[in-house]
Amino acid sequence: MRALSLEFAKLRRKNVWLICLGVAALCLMWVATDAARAAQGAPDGTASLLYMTPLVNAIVLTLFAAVVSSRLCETDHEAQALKELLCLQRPGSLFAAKLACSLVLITATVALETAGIAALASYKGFADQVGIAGLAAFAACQIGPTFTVAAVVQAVALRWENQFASLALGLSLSLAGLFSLFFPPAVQRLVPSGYFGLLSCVRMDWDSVAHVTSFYTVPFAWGDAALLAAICAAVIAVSATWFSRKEL
Amino acid sequence: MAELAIATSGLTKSYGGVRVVDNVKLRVPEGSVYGFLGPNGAGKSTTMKMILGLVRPTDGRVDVLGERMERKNRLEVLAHVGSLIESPSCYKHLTARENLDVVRRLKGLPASAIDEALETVGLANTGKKLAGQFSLGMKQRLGLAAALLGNPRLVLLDEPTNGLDPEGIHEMRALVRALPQTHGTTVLVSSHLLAEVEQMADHLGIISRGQMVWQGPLERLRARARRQLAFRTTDDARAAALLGASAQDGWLLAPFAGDEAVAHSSLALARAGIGVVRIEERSESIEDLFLALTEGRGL
Repeated sequence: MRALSLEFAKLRRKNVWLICLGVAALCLMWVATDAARAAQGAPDGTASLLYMTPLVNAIVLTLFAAVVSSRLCETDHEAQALKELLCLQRPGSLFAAKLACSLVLITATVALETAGIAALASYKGFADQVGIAGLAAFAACQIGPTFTVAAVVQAVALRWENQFASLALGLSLSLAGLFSLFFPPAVQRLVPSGYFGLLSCVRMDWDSVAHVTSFYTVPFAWGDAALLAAICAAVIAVSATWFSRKEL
Repeated sequence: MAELAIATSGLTKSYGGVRVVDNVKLRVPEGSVYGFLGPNGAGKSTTMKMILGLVRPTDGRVDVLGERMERKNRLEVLAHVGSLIESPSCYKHLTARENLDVVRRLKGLPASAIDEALETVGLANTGKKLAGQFSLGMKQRLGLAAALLGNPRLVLLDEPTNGLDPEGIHEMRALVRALPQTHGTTVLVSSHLLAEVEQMADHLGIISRGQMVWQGPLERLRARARRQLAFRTTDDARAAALLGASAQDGWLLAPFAGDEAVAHSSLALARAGIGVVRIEERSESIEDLFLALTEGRGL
């Protein structure tokens, strides 16, 4: 906990909470434009929001995760503080604190976004309102891929002082996440940001003859969730091992 | 013999088969200011990083404050050690106090430790000024304050006067020199400038091409400085043969001798019809010794 609170202390005046708020607002505005087209009290309005949000998140939250991870690592690189810090704390502790800090910021952003979606659904009076448990599951499905992206970017951001590589990776993952949604699940599984779509429990059918869109739910993809967790764990294990062996 | 704050034996570091630190045996007595001197690229920083465990030695052993440094006890030992390696760490978006608070919390010290450290380095009045607006000298002092936080028993300072103006250099020297008396701290300070080390240190270690070429009390090195007599005469060629001296830069250099021997020499030259224009006593400077050691000529 001490290491985590130190990470936040180091982020003072870096406006990270403002970034969280801004990202949540951006995502909400994006999905709100979709919700605005839905009729008041529509029977599948919430489902459309829950379908749309992961698509937006694949782009926006992926970039957000990259920015957060990169900024967390850049703070120490820019201050040339790693030599001093690693004389006072174990590399594993510093590494874990940065990941935990990313997780807190991601969780706060997703929580804001989810609360916004619930508020939007309520405001529009959609008939298919989702309960707290459903919203929590939805939030968890957004946090998982975002955190995995953060872990991947952190590995790169700690490796190179110049943060161009980590931000370029974040941008690439963001685009890859978006485009992977148009490919079969096997391809989506190769990209961390592809899991936004894979873990979504709402799917869409488009009747091209009647020009009607319908939403339906599918069972939670436990297999994909487990695969994502395994990928995330592997990335963390490899990069933490590398970081603990890093010579300064 | 004094207790050793740092003792290394056979300390070696190779990169790609090249030994940048080669079998270094460092002996830093407790309570001393130990000047670690060597040309740029001699292996000073790498040695200091190995002492701190930031770089893994290829071979050898490091003992700090009587404890053998190993991966499992590294942080326990370093709890009593402060360091400033290569450049001062400084979060530009934080104030001096906030910067030191990061280190203080990691060291588990009370908040009052910050005031003491800021007072010691003369940064107590920086208030809400962000470290990004500090001059290089202030940043360097902030780095030193972080190293001194909690009054560690040992401080490692790597080229602490780099980039400082003459006044800053003077202040830094005075501060380092006083640390053993004021805080009971042993200091290992590296530099590539002999004059600087001479003014701060009481012990000296000279490293060249990764190898320790000399170490010991500075006074002992001074005592090894050769003294010579330099003559200038009206006929240097004959005088050289008569005195057994060698010619160098228009002077004849003969081994140092007492007053009586000098009188005999001048009389002998006069009897041979050679006029003595000038006689000077010369002593080799520490710089000459340093150059002799780092160029591999030995003493």
